[in-house]
Amino acid sequence: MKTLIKQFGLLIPSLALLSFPAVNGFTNMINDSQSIENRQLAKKPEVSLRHLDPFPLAFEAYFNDHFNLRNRLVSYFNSYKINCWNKIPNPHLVYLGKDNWMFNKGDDFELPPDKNLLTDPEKRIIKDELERRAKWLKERHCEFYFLIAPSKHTLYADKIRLPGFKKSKSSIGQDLNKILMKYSSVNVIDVFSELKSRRYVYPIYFKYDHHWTGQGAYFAAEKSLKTIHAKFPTVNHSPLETVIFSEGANYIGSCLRLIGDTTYFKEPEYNVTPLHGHIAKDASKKGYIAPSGFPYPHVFELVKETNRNDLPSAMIVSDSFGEFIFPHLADHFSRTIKIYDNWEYKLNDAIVESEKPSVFILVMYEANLKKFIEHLQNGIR
Amino acid sequence: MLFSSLLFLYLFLPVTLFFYYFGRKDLRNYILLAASLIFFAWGGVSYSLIILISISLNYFFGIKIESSSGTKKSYWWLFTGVACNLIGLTIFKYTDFLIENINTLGNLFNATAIPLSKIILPVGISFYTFHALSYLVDIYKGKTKAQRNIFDLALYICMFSQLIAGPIIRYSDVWQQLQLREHSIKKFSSGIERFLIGLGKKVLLSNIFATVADATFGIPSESLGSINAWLGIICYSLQIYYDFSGYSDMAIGLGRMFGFEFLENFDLPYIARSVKEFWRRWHISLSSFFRDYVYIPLGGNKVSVQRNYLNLIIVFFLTGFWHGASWTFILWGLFHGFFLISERLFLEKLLIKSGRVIANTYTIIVVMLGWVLFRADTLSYALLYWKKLFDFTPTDIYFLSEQWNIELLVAMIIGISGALGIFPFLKQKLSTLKFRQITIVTYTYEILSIFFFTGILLLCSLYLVAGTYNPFIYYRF
Repeated sequence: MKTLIKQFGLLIPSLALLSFPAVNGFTNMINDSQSIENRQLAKKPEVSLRHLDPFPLAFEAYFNDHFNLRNRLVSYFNSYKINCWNKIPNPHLVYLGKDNWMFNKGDDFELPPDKNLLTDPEKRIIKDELERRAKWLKERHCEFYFLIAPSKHTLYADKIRLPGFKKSKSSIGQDLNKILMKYSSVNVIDVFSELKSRRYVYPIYFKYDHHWTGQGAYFAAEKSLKTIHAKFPTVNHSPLETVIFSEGANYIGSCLRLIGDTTYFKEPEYNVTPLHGHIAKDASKKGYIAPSGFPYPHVFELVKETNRNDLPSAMIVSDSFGEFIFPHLADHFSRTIKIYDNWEYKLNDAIVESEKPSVFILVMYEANLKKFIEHLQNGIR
Repeated sequence: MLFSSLLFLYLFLPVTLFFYYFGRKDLRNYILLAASLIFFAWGGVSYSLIILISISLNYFFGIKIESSSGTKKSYWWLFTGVACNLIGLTIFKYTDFLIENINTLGNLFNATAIPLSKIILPVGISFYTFHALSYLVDIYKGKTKAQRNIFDLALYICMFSQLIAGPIIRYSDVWQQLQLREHSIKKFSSGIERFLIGLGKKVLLSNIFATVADATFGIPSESLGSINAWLGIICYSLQIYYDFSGYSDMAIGLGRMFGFEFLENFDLPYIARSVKEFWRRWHISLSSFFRDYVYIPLGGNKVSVQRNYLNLIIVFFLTGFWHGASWTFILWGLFHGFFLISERLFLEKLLIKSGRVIANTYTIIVVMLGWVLFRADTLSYALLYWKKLFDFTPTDIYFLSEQWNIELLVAMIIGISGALGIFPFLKQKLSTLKFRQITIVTYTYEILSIFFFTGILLLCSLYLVAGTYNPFIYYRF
């Protein structure tokens, strides 16, 4: 008996495990979960005697991408890594903080926020450009507003175990806002303190995504509308008692996509809707052309309109943070067009000339400020 | 194709095993050879021609050496055979290194630089060339007969189990097994067990140490803190040991699955008490190859003291050069040679007197310092890294906290314990305990070990599958 166990005990389960993916591929005993990987999986290469050299690599890529139960196994791996080791599976992409808060490593995360400020010349580049834009827009009877959407690690620095984060007093965006408010004529919508004071009262940022939630966007919109109201008295805001906070469907955040998890971490969408619903409705697009290579051309241009012609019109140029704030702002303008311009944050002067908005809001993710400077230095304005 | 890849584990190996065991018994060697050629071709289909030429040439030279045995012709056939093999190795492995050095010299005289050949290194060329050399030399020495079946010779030269990372198998050790070898369930099972040990070493230990080592050696050495530098080199020392010994375990395990018995390649090198002893325990098949095919033919230690030291320097120069076409590898070899000669001169006596702990600490530190040379891209980087190890530069806490985690800590505890031989020691102690003789304890032990090894396979598979998950980060660009 002992000999039998010794001889077959390892042989049978090992061979069973090694052949299971192939067997399951034929029988479909266990179904795989859906892939959330944001890339095109490798295709099966064709065998050609003339091009044999690239075949092995291409076939291996195909085999790996289509490995039976791959998505499920990636999820199991995530659970194992996080439960056993409190470690994120793709640590080069995502940082796992306290209470499982996740942060995108790409978001200018290398240093604590207050050690990663812009230099004086860099601040001047941004200041000069924003002033140039404000002046240009003013000549066209349009008021320019600048809103920095805080990085998650600026607001939730206390969730990060890395040295220097918890005690960080400022951030690249806060510091820039301070300079702009003090030394320039640019209208700054400073949402940092607004959001910071509410960060543990409401779920204003997703735990597993780098964006603000609908609720975070609502508070940012409120601050924006109050700021705009100073120059456009007809623009009001939607106080707390006029909106409903609710939780929506399961939201698969950017961090979860980066680690490939669909089952282990879950959080809902956090929505805010006016008591009587949004006034602004989707309107037809003018068909402005998205920049080439932009991965989301279908959302390059979004338009909403209310039937309030007494209200000013607005144009928002933003990154993905604009998606969440757009519906809240649009309710308070006659027509609002939002341009998602491939993270280039250009003035989009042709669109401005065509739309003739009264209000122009540039919404920029804090982590992209340095990228913005690079664009300006490369002549992308 | 790596052993620690999904393609190997879940397609290549099961299919090869299926055809090997369910095909005709007299075709087994042919099936293994076909699998080995596919494995080789996977690293570059057009490069298959090289190994086919190598097999044909060595087949020819082997017969010629044997047929002219006892005459001067035999020596010349051996010389030509060895030269052909070494020329092949030089062309594919060392051409660009030679060109770079010629260009550096030429620079001094404002000569026009020769463009690099950019030749791709064929998979396993360092290993199969040494297999071929051992074959020719063993025939010449009369240790073995020339192989008349070219397919069996081809299988010896390029068998996939030891093609990419050894061990270096000598023809005299394996020729009988090519004709007749034992296949049994017991042997097959022990092969799986050994393969899984190697796979676990590679995927669950070495790869974890590699993330820290790669990150540490990836940043400029002037920005390193001393503790960061020490953590980096400790992790690299563990990485290279578990990577290399893991591959050897997998090769030995695969050999057993196909009925072969290969010699051990590692014997707890980090418990060595001198550099001399280290080389008796590290990559044993390589050091014994150089001993038998270079050191002893040069006269070994049966020559004058000075000549003996020169022989050692030659051997360690070649050892370093064999590992890679770069001056850092050569210097790594010479670094070991320097300590080996120092031990012969005076250090060995001091080490014997100083006791076990000091001798072992000395060896580990020398070996680790050597790994800095081995891992660094340039000599200047290695020198700065050495400086950082001892100049007490303040630690980069941010970098350290990014690297340090519980998984690494556990891997280090297991890794260091394993490298110091604590597990085999415990296993042996446990087997002598009286309660181990009780039937229920024996069964429990056997069942637990099945769970353990199956768990390793499962866990490694999870790691390998997760490694294929490769999302894009759109928003960054």
